[in-house]
Parts: sequence; structure tokens; C-alpha cells
Amino acid sequence: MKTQEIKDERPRFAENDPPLDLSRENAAFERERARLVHDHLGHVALIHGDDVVGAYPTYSEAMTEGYRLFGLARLICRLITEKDEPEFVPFIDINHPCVRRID
Amino acid sequence: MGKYTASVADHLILPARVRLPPVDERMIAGRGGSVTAPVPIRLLIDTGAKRTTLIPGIVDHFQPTSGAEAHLVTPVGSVMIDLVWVCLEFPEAGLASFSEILVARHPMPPLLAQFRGLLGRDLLARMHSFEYRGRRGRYTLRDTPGWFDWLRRWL
Repeated sequence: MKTQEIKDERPRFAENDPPLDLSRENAAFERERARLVHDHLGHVALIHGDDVVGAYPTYSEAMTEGYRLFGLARLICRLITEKDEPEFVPFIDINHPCVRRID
Repeated sequence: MGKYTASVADHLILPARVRLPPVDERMIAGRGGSVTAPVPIRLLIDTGAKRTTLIPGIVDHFQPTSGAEAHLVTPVGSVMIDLVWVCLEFPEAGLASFSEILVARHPMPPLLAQFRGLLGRDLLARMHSFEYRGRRGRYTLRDTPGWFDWLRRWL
């Protein structure tokens, strides 16, 4: 079976790229979510691959630690919230390739 | 710190400047890389939008850190898009900066292509006030209370 390899380097956005594939990082976050919400609600989770490295009060603190530990690796800084709620935005180019439709 | 008043013709427009958050600029500079210069943009103030957005062209220019993704509901369907961390400054408007905020990488419809993004309620909520004076055709944004707001507290 062919699997897509995700390089451990800072993700690069190109103009017509679709949203990043964050399945690994999302899974890592969901595994730890209950604990993170309980202890660090509203903080920033630093995620590297399959690991939630830690939770920090600010993005700046999270990335300072991320750069120290991993350099310019693929790092995701995600706000710690109880759940992911949809957000209304009235204007969008729905046909643009950087948008992934889910309905 | 500041108050910005502008006249309104068709749209409510706020001049701004995008750059990478300071922690990212320090990291790039520390490794001998060239830090992308700030880019002046015009944002469309949109009280109907929950999230502040920037078009893909601006986001891609800076290559910011990902902040995971967002599920957006729009009048034409539900979508997933990237969230990224940037710094937004308002030197022309004289308002306080947001040194690290999450914005959506979000394409504007062609009819609004002259704007580089939306200023949504997430950032408006961090301002002191946003006032639209319809008859005067003006709006005012304040990042901190003005003199009259202080007086009102005491009266």
C-alpha cells in the first residue's frame, strides 16, 4: 500500500495548495485533548509529529521551545479548546484550491 | 493607545501591515536567513465574520507556522482551511499591534479581490470599541478607552 510521506520540515504553503495534511498532528492532539483542556485550556499546544511536546501560555513561548528542540522542523501550534466549533465567515471563494469542501 | 477614524464609502477599510511573529523573525535572523519584510495590506472590517482572514497569496509570502485548521461555515457551504500564526500591525491607523494571532488562510471572492483579508470579530473583540456613525459616514476604532469613557465610569 502506498502511503504519503510527510517530511519533518517546516511546511511550505504554495499559492494553490490545498490545506495541509495534519492527520498525524490532529490525532496526537485528540489523544491528549482531555488532559490539555483540564490543565491548559486557552494555552498553545506544541505538536511535533505524533507527539504533543507541551502546552505553553503563548505562541511565542511554544515556538521558542520548539525551535530549541527541533530547529526548523514541522511544528504545529494549536490553541487548546474544548472542541472545534465551526466559524461563520460570509465571504469566500469556495472554488479556490486552498479550500477543502466538506459538504 | 490609539483611535482611528475613517470615512466609509462602500466598505469599512482598515489599513494594516502583516509580518511574521517576532519569535519567528528572531529565529530566521539567528540562522542567517533573510526575514521577509512586512507587507502593507487593506483589510475589510466584517462584523459578520467570526475569524480574521488573509488571502493565500499573503500567507504564502510569509510561510508562517501552522496553527492547525478551521471549519468554516459560509453561505455556500462548509469548508476546512488552514490557520496560521502572523503578526498584524496598524502603523497608519495608530492602533496597537497583535504580535501573534491565528488567522485563516482564506481566499476572498473575486468581487472583493482588492482586499487582502477580513478583520473579523475575533480581533474586534480585543479592541475597546468599534463605532459606526451611519449618518456621518464614518467609523471609529479604539484600542483603549478614550477620555469620555473614563469620565463615564466616574459619573
